Amino acid sequence: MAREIRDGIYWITDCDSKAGLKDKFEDDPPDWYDGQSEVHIPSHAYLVKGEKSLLFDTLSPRSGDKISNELNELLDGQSLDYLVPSHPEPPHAGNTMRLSNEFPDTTLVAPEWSQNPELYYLDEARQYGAGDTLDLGTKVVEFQKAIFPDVAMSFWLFERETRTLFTVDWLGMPHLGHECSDYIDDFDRLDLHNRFFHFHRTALFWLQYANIDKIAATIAQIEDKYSPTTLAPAHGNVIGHTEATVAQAMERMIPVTEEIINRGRSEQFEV
Amino acid sequence: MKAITPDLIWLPECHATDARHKHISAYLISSGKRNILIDSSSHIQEEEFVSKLNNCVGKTGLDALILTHSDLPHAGNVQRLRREFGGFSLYAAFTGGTAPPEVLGMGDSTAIDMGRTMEICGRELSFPWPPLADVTNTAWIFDHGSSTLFTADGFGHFHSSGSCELTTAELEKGVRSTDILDFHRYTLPWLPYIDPNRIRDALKSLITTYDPSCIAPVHGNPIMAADIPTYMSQLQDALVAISNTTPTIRA
Repeated sequence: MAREIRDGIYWITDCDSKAGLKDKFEDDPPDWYDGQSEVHIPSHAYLVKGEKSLLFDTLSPRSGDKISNELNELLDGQSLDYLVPSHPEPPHAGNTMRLSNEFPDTTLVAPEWSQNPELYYLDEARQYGAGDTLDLGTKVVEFQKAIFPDVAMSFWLFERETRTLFTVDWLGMPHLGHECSDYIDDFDRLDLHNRFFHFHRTALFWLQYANIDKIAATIAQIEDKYSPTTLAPAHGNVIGHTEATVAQAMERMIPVTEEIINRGRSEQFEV
Repeated sequence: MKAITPDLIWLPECHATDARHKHISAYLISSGKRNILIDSSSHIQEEEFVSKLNNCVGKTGLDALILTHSDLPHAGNVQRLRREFGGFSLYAAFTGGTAPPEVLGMGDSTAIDMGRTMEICGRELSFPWPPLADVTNTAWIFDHGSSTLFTADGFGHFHSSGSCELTTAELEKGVRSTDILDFHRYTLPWLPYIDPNRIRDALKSLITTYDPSCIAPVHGNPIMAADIPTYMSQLQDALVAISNTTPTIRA
């Protein structure tokens, strides 16, 4: 069931239980692992509801029923006004076509900087550029080029009223089987560094080549421009009980990136 | 389509992007008795692609399809190929996670053994970790038989009309540096954050290890052995130029 994380912002969770990771962590447990629980890597979608509604990301095709049911419950008969896949990868955009058919009046959104959107069935999408805003009435979303990206056609989103920053593949992390809908502040054993390290050395493999000063400078830019109260990643638990936690989480990515530079990418694809 | 070597056929499509073209290519490794396809091109030119592939494989059919990654320009025609060619073996780097080939309607698949060598349809194929990729679950492939390194989105570049079916050996003035720079700047948006020497070292190590006769990108003209040093130099210049930019968040 979706969790309302800020007024009118709903977190739709979908977890993938990783038996391989459980075995690995049982053999060599990191501090955050309790020795027995399942290990999940999540995928999330977020619904922003003002007077109009916007869905950011759509989950994997295997979770089509889940996203459809959750959305129908949250919208309660109202329309879905905007459908925004963060980028055209199956875990994020996997149900774009299904939801476009289920909500035929929805406006599909794609980045203005897309080359050849027709290759991704996005040629008829409405395009928004970096810095463009969309007024949902009581909520205003700002589109940005993904700040720490993988593919080119990637959005991040910022909701201005609640100052919620949607960071897509950045700030992902594994969690235990009973932590699925928890804020990170509510984890018994946080160990944010190791959780971030495990996820990012696989999902953002290019961090192994990073210039750490540029990473740090960009994190400072994010803090300066957005001062987010809430961080809503696509593959990690929501970060947002306190502003101190939010700042700590982003700044934690500096030593995490340093460790990835020193130790290299994960030599497995499955996160 | 074009035979690069007796056992390597290039199946390019061209897409207009601003005033230039961008390739979306597949490659067929063909021993005459067995056929292995690298990537499945985009759905935009499905009919033309399938027709070309039929001309290449004839009655022998398709034995294996290896997908470098799940991005649609690379995996756009798998379901059509299943209908057309039936029971070929599918190999992919994205077999784990929430969206493996089976979930995407592509049928059963076998995981690529990353960092290792596999025998597929009697060919020895190695799968080095790619230094340049847009999606993390990406495989580069080295076919030992044809000495070809398939680099997915790496080593890509735009080209002008008239160069669509030429290898670098046939390009009168080689690949333009701006075409390499512009392609990588758009396709790999994380490049502004990197130390270019780290990637240079990783690429050099790969080229030294495999010593390819041909580098076969999906989004560029095939780069023949004699042109690899020049291309590597141009690529390094592009990586330096891109990494010298300062990432800024648009106001």
